[in-house]
Amino acid sequence: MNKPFFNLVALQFKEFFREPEIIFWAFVLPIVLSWLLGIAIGSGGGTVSGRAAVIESSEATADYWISWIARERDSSRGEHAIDFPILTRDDAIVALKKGEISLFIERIPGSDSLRYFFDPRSGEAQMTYLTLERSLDGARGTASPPSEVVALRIQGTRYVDFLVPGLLAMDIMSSALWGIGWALIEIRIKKLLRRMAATPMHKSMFLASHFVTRLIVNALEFVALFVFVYHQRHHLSDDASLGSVLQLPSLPRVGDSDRSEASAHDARRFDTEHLQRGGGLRPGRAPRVRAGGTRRAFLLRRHEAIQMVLIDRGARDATAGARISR
Amino acid sequence: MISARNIVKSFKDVRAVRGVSLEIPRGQYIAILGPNGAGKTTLVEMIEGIQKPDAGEIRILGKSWSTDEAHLRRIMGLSLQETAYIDKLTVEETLNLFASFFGLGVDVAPRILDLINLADKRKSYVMNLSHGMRQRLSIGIALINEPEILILDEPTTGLDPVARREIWDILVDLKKKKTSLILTTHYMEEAEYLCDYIVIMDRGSVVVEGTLEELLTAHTHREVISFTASDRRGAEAFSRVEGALGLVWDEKSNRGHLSVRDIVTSLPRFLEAVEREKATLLALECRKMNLDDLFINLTGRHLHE
Repeated sequence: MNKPFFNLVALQFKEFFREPEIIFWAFVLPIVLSWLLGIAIGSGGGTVSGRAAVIESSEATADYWISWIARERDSSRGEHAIDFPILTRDDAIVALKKGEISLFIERIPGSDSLRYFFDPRSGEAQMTYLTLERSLDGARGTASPPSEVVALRIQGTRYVDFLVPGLLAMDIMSSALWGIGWALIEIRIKKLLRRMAATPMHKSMFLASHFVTRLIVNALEFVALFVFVYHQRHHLSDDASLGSVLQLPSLPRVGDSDRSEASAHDARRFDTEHLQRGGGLRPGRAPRVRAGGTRRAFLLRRHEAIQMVLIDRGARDATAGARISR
Repeated sequence: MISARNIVKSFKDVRAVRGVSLEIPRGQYIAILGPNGAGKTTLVEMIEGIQKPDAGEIRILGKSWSTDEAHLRRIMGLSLQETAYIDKLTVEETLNLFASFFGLGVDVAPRILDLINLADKRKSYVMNLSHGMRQRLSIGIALINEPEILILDEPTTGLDPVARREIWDILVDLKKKKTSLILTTHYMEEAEYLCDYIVIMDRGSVVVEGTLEELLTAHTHREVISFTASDRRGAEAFSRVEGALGLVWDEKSNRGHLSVRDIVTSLPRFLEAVEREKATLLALECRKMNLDDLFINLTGRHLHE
């Protein structure tokens, strides 16, 4: 039993395991790294993807709504664990901008129906919306009027906004890891490290040289990626994705409270003006759906939002189609 | 100048150096000679302060590595076995890099380039140098700080005779500058040509040491009958030939190495034995014992095994 194929496979395992440092790099490091990343990304607690703020309201809410939220809060075993922080409208807008919640809901005054606010370009928000709607559909009577969707435009909530800074961090991490780690291993293999150590060269200076080199290389990489993304921002999406990341620390705060909620119409107008003044949030552009020949800018009915979702995703699902027609 | 006492060094499964003591006077060229695995490199690296002995003491000009490392690094120049320098650096850049480690300027490189005869290659990448040129570069790096003590670990191993001769020329020139040299090699003729004092090591111990003359006068009263046979037949009989002092038989090549007191007496008896045992000789040579023969006699092994 001495087959070349077997030997070649065995060779690679032997090569791997006979280098004790490999155990660290291949097994311990990824575990430590994912633990650290878990701490870094998971900070803030809970599943960020399933956070839907509920706007405080002095009006009593319908029974189904309260009971449903209570039930959903108790069991996080559902297929989508959704967290419902109760916020004021202003706080909800800020939270939306920061990506802490993916949508917020308010009750349409004088009715049992809900109004959803989210950016339809965010897959996460769509998901949360659809999940909520499905769950609520079962909970309330069919007689209830349908929910409304207000399409917002929020910078920095799309996948690409998450992707680019992630890529950047990944880039820096791998370049530091391999740039320094591998360079050291290589000159060690060449016995050059040994030769250098046998001169009066300061070892701290040697390490510092690697550190500074990486710093410079990473700065250049950062600038290159930044310039690329900045120039491509209209292709990647409508907004500067990296720009929105950089805006994060200095989010404009939407502070006006002179609103009235007399009617749905007023609320809608308020939204438009209010959000425009806020800077970061803008009312959604007309979706690629024509309703009765006119492009309707801000307020969408529920089925229109669903259609938009479908168009965005290119899906042609029969069940979803059935829901649209309802 | 360099004194090592009872140096012991073991690795996981090898006792590399087993109690070696050496006294090396200033300004001498010393060859440490032995086959692969004799412990030459380990011994030399302990003198260079790259490895720590398990036991024993090394003092260089009265100083030790644990207390005077910075000073010793400045007065020592060394070339390790098989160091690969940075491929994409030119010869001159490599020299400047190492010069900077010693706090020296870029004015040093031209002098070194002349010394190692690489001035015309100063703009070449290290990766484009021949093996011999790389070894010369390695020696050049060792010489960059004008060391009092130069230690070269197998500088000519694997080189062709011309490249080897070029390195010898560099080292012979250096001798005029009163540099001390420790050189490891497994070429007997290299030790004979360059060095005043020869230490022969095998399996971690010093087998014999002395000046070239001492070694030769101590052993050249012997003579050698060296032969190659078609098989092992008759080996027993040969070792009992009149005047024979010992037979070393190499199983692989069927080479016999019979040291005798006097060829004139022993050779006829040897040939009689060949005829009597019906052995077939493929080659036969008689000579006075040289260092190679001495090594075989002392260790039972060939130097280039």
